[in-house]
Amino acid sequence: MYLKSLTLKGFKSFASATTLRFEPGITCVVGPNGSGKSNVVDAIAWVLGEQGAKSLRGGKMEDVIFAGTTGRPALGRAEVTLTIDNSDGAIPIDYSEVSITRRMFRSGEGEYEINGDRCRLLDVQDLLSDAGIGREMHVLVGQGKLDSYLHARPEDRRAFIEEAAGVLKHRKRKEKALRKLEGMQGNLDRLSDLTGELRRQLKPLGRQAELARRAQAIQMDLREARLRLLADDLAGLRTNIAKDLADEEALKERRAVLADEHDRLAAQVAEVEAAHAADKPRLARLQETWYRLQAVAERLRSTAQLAAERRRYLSEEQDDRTGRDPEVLETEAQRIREQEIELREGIAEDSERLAAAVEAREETEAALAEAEQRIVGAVKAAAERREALATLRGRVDSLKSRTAAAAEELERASIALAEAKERAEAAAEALAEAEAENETAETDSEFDEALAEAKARTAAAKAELDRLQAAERDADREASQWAAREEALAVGLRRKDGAAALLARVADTDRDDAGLPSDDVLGSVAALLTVRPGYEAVLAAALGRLADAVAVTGPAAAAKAIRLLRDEDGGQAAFLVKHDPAGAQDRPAVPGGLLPVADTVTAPAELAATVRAVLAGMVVADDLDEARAIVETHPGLTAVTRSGDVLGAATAHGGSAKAQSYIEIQAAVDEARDGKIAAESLAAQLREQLEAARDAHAEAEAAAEQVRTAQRQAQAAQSVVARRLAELGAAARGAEAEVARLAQARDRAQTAREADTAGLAGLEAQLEELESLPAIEEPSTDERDVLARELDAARQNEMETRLSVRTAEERASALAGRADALARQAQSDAPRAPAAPPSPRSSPKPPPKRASSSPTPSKRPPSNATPSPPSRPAAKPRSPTCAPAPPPLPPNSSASPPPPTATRSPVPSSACASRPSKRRPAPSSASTSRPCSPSTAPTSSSRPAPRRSPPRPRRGGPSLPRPRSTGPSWRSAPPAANAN
Amino acid sequence: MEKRAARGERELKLLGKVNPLALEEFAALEERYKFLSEQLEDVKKTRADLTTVVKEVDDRIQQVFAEAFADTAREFENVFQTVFPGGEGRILLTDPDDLLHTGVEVEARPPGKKVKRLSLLSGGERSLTALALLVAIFRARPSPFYLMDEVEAALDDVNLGRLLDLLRRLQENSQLLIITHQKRTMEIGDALYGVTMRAGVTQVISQKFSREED
Repeated sequence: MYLKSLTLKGFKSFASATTLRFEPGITCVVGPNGSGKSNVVDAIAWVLGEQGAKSLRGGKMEDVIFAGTTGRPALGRAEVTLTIDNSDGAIPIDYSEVSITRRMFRSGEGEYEINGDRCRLLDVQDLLSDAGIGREMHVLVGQGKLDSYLHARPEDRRAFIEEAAGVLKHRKRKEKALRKLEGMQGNLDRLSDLTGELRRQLKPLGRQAELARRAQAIQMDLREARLRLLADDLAGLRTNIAKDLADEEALKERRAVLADEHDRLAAQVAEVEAAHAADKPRLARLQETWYRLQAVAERLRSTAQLAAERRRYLSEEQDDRTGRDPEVLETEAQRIREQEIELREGIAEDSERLAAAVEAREETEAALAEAEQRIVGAVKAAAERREALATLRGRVDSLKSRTAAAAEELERASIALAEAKERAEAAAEALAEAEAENETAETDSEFDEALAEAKARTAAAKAELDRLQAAERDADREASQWAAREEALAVGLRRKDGAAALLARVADTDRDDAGLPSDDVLGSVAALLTVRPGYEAVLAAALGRLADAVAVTGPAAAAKAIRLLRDEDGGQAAFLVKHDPAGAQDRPAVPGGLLPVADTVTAPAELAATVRAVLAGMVVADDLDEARAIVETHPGLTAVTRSGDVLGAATAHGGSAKAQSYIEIQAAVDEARDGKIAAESLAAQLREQLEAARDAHAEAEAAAEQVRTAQRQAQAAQSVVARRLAELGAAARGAEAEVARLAQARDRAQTAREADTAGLAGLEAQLEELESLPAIEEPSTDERDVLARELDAARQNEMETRLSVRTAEERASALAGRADALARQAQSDAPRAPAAPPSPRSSPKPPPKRASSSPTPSKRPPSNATPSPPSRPAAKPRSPTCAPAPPPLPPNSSASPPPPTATRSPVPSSACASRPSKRRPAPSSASTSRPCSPSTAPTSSSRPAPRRSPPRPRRGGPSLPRPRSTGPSWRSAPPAANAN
Repeated sequence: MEKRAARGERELKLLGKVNPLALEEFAALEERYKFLSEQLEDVKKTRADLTTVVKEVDDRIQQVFAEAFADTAREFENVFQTVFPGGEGRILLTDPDDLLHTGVEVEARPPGKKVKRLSLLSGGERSLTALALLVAIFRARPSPFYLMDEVEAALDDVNLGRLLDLLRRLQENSQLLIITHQKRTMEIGDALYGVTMRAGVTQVISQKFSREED
């Protein structure tokens, strides 16, 4: 293997592509110093992968790129290609020729290529290290590197040997392995950490897992046990359900049966209830009947008792008297009879007395009633009167208060009226006053006129002002135009040659120049001369160069100035030299009609002669033709046209307008200056006028403003007055209205008061009248009380009388009974002793016997009656009440064949009386029977009525005392009977 | 059965709080642990392999280096004899026991001199010694080509002749690219390139081949 060629492009000093071809053997590269020989070596080192810029003798890698020279621009990249012959296969690659290229750009990017394929530096190094060319590049022995080999450390020297021995690739392998190991160590550490951590976590987790496993086993066991228990429960519950269902069935059946029965029973109940309902009235009837029967039974019982009593009594008496003699008895009877009679007489007496007492009582009662009526009437009348009096008094009082109030009101109204009147007058006055005032304030038109006048004045002033302002502006503008023109011309006037230098020098007085005293220089000719307007061009042409010249005091000064200019390289300059006046005489005469140029210019005194000398023989012509004519006629003259052409006999120059000469410019400048001054003065004048006009305007405006203010004040005052006027008018109207209202109110109050007073008087009279009437005395109750007392006494008397009558009667009857009894005893004893009592007396005797036995028959009907009522229909309840009544009668009537006596009558009458009396309370006790009675009355009354009627008259007799004691009547009946 | 249930409940209570996920977590963790352990074993094995490789490489390096050094040392003595006839030069290992890291020391004793310290040699002697070392290396383990940039600048005529002899010998096996100003060096060249600089740009002027038949 050997290097075949090296191609450099833009590497270091190799700007253009250069190729070096090498041969096996020795190739020498020669050249002068600094020609770039070493760059060849550098290129090879670079292409083989050198990384250090320093070993390539550069500061940074980009320095290997051609940096450009004065003739060549810098390049953007460096490229080196090394071609190696690999025919011997020293490089492990399947090519007989290997070309390695390294390329670098200014941006710092670099790239490698092996046989045109892009690759990495590493690949290049790998490729070469196999061929024994390592990174150390020991095959490249650089300039001055030899020493470094010796001075290197032993370890570095070892590196050379190693590289040459090809150890490098082994080292590389080792490094790789070590790197791997290192990386692996990291992994190993991480793994160890992880496993350690996991192991640590595993332990508690294992315990937990063990716990969980055990818990799971237990839970499973537990679940199974619970399940079994539940299964048992389930089986039990199922059988229970079956049992319950069967029970339920049975119960349902029973319920159905019971329901049927219930229905049946309910039907029965309904039936029974219906029957009950049907039977209810019957029951009621029956009850009623029963009650009635009981009452009857009671009565009968009491009758039986009575009878028993009587019999006992009688039997006792009989026993007592058994021992007595009939005669005694007779006498006794007789005695008793007498007593009885006596008593009866007393009774009659008493009865009479009773009648008298009753009468007296009735009388007294009537009197009392009358008296009471009277008293009531009197009391009523008194009450009425009091009432009327009170009403009247109330009315009087109210009227009095009303009149007082009306009077007060009247007074108030009068006062208010007076005040209102006053106010109304005041308001009217004020109104009148204000109106008068208003009249005087009507001066508006004056103000208007004044204002209009002031406005007109102001407008006039304003117009004047405007005009003056415009004029001033115009003047100013003109002035500034002139000033600008002057300035522009002055700029052109500045000298740019020797004359200017000279003039500048002279102007600079500070410089004390020995070469040119400032006294010698008079100034610029253009500035010194004054040209008649319109002849500037003429003068400029006539003067020629002298137009721009500098005026000096004399030839000496001119020479001095010229020398100075030469010395200082100041340029050329023309000079107008102050001249001797003597030279003025040889001036050629100017023919008449022609204008000498010299007359168009005015010069300062010291220069006048000189100027005239210079302009001698020059005349002004209007145009070239005229100039030609002048020159032809006067060969001694030179004609200058207005446009600046010069035509002389010997010389002529002219043509189109050239640059203006200084003279012309100066003239223009002067003119501009004059114009400016004039304009400025005009402007100043105008400004003054303007000031005056402004003042006038301001004054006019102030006047107008004053007028306006006055007008405003007047208007304000007027409006105030008008407002006040309106107020016053309203006040006056209000006051008048108030006066009217108050007057009306007062009138009303007065009439009301009058009416009230009149009413009061009437009422008072009435009251007085009423009061004056003698007070009705309280009706005296004495009479009535006396009467009442009398009545009481009468009643008592009556009562006493009646009592005594009764007592007597009773005694009489008792005596009669005794007498009878004695008589009967005596009679019964009579068979043995025929001395019988009188027959009349005997006749009644049997009845008592019967009477004693009568209880038995009387008892019988009730016993008969008790069974009978239930069998009888409901319509019969009435009949028992009546039926028992008739039955006792027939027995009595039938049982007493002897005509009934007065003594006997009380018995049946009391019995009869007791019956109806007993019937009367019955309805109250047994209300159920009551509805029946009316319904049955028509049917039953038709029959019993005739039968009952007989007892009634009988009852009427003894019923005299009855009205008083209706309540206890039926109770008192038995004692009455008992007494009998 | 009820007893069993009661016992189960009691035991469950005794166990206290139980993490129901522990079983799964434990299984997952165990698996992971096993996996990592295997990985760890793998890595360890690989490391061992690598260590072996390193060891092998080291051995190889030692061997190669030892051979190369022996060759170089022999050549150096020869070359030194050639450049300094009558002189004595050799290279030594600073630490012969540690062939992996040992350095290499140079001893040079030009004829008639007793110095051993290299810094005490003259400039020319130093150049020549260094060249001798290089050439010894080159000859012990030849490279396909060498580049030498004005290596002979400090040599006198005699020594230059000796060096040229060495170069000529090197040329037998390798390609040489020499940059030089010495005419004698140019004379041994098979090809010659002239390099000039024009306006800052290097130009290879004559690419002529000058074959000189000696």
